[in-house]
Amino acid sequence: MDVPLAKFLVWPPFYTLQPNLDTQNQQLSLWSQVILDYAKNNKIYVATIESFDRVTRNSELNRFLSEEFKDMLFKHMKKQKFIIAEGLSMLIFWQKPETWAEMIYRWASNSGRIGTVETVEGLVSGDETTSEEFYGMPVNYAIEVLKTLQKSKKAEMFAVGDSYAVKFF
Amino acid sequence: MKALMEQKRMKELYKKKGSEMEGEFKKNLKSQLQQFHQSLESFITNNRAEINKNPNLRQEFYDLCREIGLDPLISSKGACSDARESDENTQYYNDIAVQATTVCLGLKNRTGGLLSIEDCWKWVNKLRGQRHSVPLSDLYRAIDNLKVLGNGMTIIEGESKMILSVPMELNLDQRGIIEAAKGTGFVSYDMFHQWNKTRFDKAVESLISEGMVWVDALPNGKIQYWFPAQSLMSS
Repeated sequence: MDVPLAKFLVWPPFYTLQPNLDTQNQQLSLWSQVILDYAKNNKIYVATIESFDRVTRNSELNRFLSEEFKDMLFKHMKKQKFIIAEGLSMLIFWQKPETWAEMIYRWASNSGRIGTVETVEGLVSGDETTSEEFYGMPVNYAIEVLKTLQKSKKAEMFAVGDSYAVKFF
Repeated sequence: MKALMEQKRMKELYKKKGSEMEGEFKKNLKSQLQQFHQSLESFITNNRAEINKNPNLRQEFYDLCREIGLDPLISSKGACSDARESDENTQYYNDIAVQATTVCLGLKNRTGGLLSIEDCWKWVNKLRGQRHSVPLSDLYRAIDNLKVLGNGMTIIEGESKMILSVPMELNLDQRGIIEAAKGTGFVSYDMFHQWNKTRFDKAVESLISEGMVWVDALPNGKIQYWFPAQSLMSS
């Protein structure tokens, strides 16, 4: 039982940062969902704050999120681990790194890659994975994902020249 | 080459047959589920007393209902008014009251505990399903019956009837603001020119702190105050 997100997006006060902290927390988590949905639908892995201008402003309503609001929103998303900041850009995890990691590991085990070495680049843009959901993922994004596999001892990453390779266990 | 084409043709044939079988299977399953749904419904109606008496049975039964998406609280209003029937009626109103409470509490973090009776009605009927929908007047009576239990759920009378599901009293100014938001869903100070600014701000701020009102800062500097209950909740 809840109000669909689409209704909030055409509701004017949704664009003003709320003074009541409980309401504000609700608002931030609703907005996080808006951002993640947008990133997912448009396959945005790496973004800047401006990447989301199309959702954070509504010209029909003549409303937009203030700089202060956007700042809080992305801080909130970082805290919730939806975002990892990387220099001036951010990696947007519309699926948790662990979920991506599972997908990659499943592919590796289904295709007999356990024990072999793959380059990270080949993994996300090679001919072998074109039909996988993780195909097209940027290398630096994939590295964050593979870190979680490394943590659970299912893979190990190492540098080869100036690129990265991974071995699955 | 020919063998390859034949192989391809067979593959397509299999695929077609496969999706046909899948469709048939889904259809069967659906009608079985429907039948089960119906038998369960008549089971509720016939064995209500037993279900209510036996807590183990009740728990198992509720779990089962939840799994197949049936509201266990379906009862109908009796047509006659002898003693037995009036018991049934009590059950009927109690069930609606429980459903209304479920709706109000379920939406509470979005509305601050305020909900128009019409919206509550729509949600209750959604919960009950079309076949068991109830008239608005019965919902009104069911909630009104809850009055005896204290001030957990009250109806704010006025041009637009609102249900208040938090234990608080609304003062006249707060009620005036809620009333004024009817239709548009928001108020602004210029709608209250007969009030001084402090009086307006005090009332509005108290509603904001209850989570009943959201602030909308317009680009031109004006401020409007929106009630989710009056602008966001209609399902």
